[in-house]
Amino acid sequence: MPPTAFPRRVTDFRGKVLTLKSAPRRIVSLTPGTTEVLFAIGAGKQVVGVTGYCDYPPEAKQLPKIGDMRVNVEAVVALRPDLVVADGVLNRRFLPALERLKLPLLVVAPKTWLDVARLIRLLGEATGHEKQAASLAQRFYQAHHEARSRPASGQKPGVLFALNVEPLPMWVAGRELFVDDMIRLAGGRNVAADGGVNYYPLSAEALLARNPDVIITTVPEDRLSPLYEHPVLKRLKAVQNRRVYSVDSNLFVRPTPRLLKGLELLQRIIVKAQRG
Amino acid sequence: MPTVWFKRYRVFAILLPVLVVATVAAALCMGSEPIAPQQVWRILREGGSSGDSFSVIVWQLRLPRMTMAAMVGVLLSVAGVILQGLLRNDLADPYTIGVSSGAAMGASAAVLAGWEAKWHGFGVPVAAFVCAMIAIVLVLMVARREGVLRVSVFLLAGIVVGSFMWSVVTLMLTLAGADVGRVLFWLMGSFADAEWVRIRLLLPFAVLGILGLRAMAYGLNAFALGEESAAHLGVEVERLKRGAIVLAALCTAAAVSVSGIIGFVGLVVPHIARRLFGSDHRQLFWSAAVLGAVLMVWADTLARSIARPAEIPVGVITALIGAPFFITLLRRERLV
Repeated sequence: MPPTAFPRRVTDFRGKVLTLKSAPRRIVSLTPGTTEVLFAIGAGKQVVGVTGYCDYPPEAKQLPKIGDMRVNVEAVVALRPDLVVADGVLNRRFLPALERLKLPLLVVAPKTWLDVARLIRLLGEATGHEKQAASLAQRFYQAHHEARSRPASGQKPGVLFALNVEPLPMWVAGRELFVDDMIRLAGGRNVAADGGVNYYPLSAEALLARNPDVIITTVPEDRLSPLYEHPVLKRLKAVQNRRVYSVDSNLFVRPTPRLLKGLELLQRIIVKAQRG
Repeated sequence: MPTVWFKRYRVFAILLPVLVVATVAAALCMGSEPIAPQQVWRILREGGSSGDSFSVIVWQLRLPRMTMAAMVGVLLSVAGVILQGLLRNDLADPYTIGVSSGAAMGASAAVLAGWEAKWHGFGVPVAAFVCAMIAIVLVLMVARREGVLRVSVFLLAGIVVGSFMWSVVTLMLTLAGADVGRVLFWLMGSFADAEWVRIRLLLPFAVLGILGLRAMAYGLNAFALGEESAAHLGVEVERLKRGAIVLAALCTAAAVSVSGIIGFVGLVVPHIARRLFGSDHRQLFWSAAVLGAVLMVWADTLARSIARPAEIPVGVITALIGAPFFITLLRRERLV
């Protein structure tokens, strides 16, 4: 799709306005999530630099690397980018350096489900792919709307989203994460939402008291045995009823269109738990 | 118990059992999920058979955690008493002189090499012990010149050796692709993983530490007068020094391999114990052990209560208490 109506001004998640004279042709993306979105909206050909963790779609892996979670600022400059897309949380240590160098910086900081839609649209506007971005974002609004209008049916199962099962404490998803939103949209209740923001270490006794019906974890299935052997963890409802699910973390922790798949998966799991 | 000693320290000797009971009560009632004392009492009398969640919390989480914290407190305090006695230095403790970092290096290497099940679970502590010995010998070699141990050099040597070993830990973890953040949480000291199996592993070390320190009590008392005087008093100085180093490394290694690095306990506790019950090592061996257990149990209780339902590493709490204490001691020693 040919870029339309440049120059244009876009406002990023910090409220800063960036003026783009023409559609960017040398984009550097500093997180796997933004890389994925850029490819999903059809701006993949304009991307010239990504991180070592950018593994989706496969084409992204072929591009020059500018570091991993640590951004090599020199490598970014060397690519002569006309747009740098960064995450306000993941890249926060490097933002001051990037700003000092007067690079055209667009910062995103998605914390909720709707923020992801906003991110997609923002990248669409900045790259000249606003139509594709808008239709993709529409699917997020749609899912949000459907979940909202669905009648509440019975008890909401308690869900825990955990990044590890050992060593204790478990690191779990609190508030201000789209996973937290997704659990709610899928008809569940995040049992760890009251404990803090982002991922945090939940004490074992609090875990037992919250006794989730479902545990979703990014730990692979063959490494879940500690859950079934630990004297306390094995008493959890989710463990006893075999409602522990290993999931692909990419469907839950990156702000990308694949979250839609994650939400579908979550809905199936929660419906199954409700039926008992 | 000698009557003269009892007359002199009777107030604290009477208060100590009260303190212990209060500590146990707090450890069992406080936490993420506060439980009323009468309910805890009922749960304890019922035994651990009921599947009620409060009962599980008390029997399967808080009791093992408290026991493990108490034992680690004993081990670190014993190590602190030995090191302070051996080096005749108020500022020595397994953490400040880098022995803990050495043990952590050994333990991490053993875990990465998959030694956790080796030798009935003793693979990790043994590796920790070997590296703790390396650390302590390195520090002594650096700080000792012409038979004299120089205090300022000695502290610096401890810091340097400690940071070096710590960097090796971080490097190993990163290269192994481990999730550094979560492993570091464990290395910062935590009892969240307490289980009876691990406590059984710890028990022989705690007993050995206390008895070993008791056996060295006379020698360490004489040592306080200087190496030469000790020799005149019939102490086999070199044997005592070797024994003390091995025992201190052993206690530290056992503590670190189950609970990571917990700083300052070994520093603070011997001082409090000396203040309350006198500096005779024949009393210090038990007073430091009891107070070490009490302090560590309190630190862990706070670590799992103040940020609830989240946990903070217990090493953070002990550093908050210990660092100001360390500075006070430094100033008293007129080193800064």
